[in-house]
Amino acid sequence: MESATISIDQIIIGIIAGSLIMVSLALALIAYFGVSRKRILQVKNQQQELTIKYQSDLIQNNITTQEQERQRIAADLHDDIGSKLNVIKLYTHQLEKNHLSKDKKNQLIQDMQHTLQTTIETTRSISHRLIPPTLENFGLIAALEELQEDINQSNSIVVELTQKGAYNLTDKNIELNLFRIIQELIQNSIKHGGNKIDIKIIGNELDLIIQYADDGPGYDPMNIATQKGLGHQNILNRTDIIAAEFTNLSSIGGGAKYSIHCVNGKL
Amino acid sequence: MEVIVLIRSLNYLGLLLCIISIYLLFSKGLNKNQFWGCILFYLLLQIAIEVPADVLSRLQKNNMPLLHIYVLLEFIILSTFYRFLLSPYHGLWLKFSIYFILLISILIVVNSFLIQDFMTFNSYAKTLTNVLFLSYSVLYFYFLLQRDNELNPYESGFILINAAVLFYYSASLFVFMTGQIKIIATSPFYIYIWVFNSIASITMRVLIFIAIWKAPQFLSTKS
Repeated sequence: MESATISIDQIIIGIIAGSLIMVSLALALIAYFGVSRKRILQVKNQQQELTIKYQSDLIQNNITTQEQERQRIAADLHDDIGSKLNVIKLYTHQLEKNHLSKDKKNQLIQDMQHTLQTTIETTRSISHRLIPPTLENFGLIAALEELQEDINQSNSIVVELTQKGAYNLTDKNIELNLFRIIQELIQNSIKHGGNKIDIKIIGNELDLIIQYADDGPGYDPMNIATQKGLGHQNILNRTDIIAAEFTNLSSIGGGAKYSIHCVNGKL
Repeated sequence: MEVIVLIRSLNYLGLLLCIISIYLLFSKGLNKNQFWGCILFYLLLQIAIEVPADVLSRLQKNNMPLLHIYVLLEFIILSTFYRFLLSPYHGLWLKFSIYFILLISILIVVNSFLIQDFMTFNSYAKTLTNVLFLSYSVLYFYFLLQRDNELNPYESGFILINAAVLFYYSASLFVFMTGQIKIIATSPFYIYIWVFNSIASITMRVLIFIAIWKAPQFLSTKS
């Protein structure tokens, strides 16, 4: 009888122990839920902070680029146009003097015409750098061919441009941004010691793909320092604006390689 | 103090918490909300069953028929609560849960009429419903972990209620599972199982009370 009582007591202890284990499991689950939920929200907040920081960086880069562009235009106007106009002003002052011989006056007029001609050319050059007229009038391919010709003439680097298939870009803004991106990439290739650049424009009715490759030393795209450069940020900013997909396929020793995928005529 | 007196005192304290919680529910207008409405019915059920059960117990009468009614109604009310709570996470749940609730309710009734009659402890039905409540509770936590947005103030209350359900029904699972084993009731230690159950029950009611207390005033969108 005594052994039976002990057995029953053991069952009761078992029930209580089992219940305590269940309670412990429940509490552990509640604690796990609390901690996990907190972690999920933390990760979400971090992602939001990163997004805000990324947008803030983009805006900051935009402002910096604009300021640099303004400074460049101001310098061009001051150094090239301003100085030439001052020279013309001096010529006109000299022409006002009555004691000048006819030959001298003719010489001055010739010099003035020459200076005016170079001023017109400089103005055209500045305007060309702001918006290439070829791009405006004949489209992206023509503008790239012109750019290719200019760069190849400089003998610093060889640019090869090939086009496969026709594309149908209806928005000039997309063309301008793609042109600027390629300009930026070429600048980078020249800066980092490439000798040859290969640009392929592959188009069809729906898509436009630009494949860009140089034979430079290349770099690791995962390297944060390369992602933070103003030029790189500008490229990303422009691809964001035209809703294009920019893929960096560069590698150390494999040159710089990029792919830009743009949906035709769509912003 | 005798252990039975301790259990009764804990039960009265639990009833008092239920009454205060019901008062709070009404004063905050939460009774107009479908989720809190289920909690209101749950608390009312506790009072409606525990008071006559205590009277019958004092009169040395069998109060087991009340447990049979309690298990059925408790299942319907809590399942309805979780039906509303889980539906946003799984659309099919709203559609099919009604049939599920109906099926389990039929099983509970069949158990009471054919297997464990009204005068005995309905451990099978109680164990089944306890396991289902635990499943609902774990499922709700699982669905919440899939979300990464902030919770609204009412949801914080539901989390507390869900934690209360998980805690109490985990604690009482073995107690009710072994309730029909008559031989263990002969042990002088058997009463401590019910002390344990009463403490778990009080804890659950405190958590429900806190959930209601912290819930903001309910402003119905209907004019």
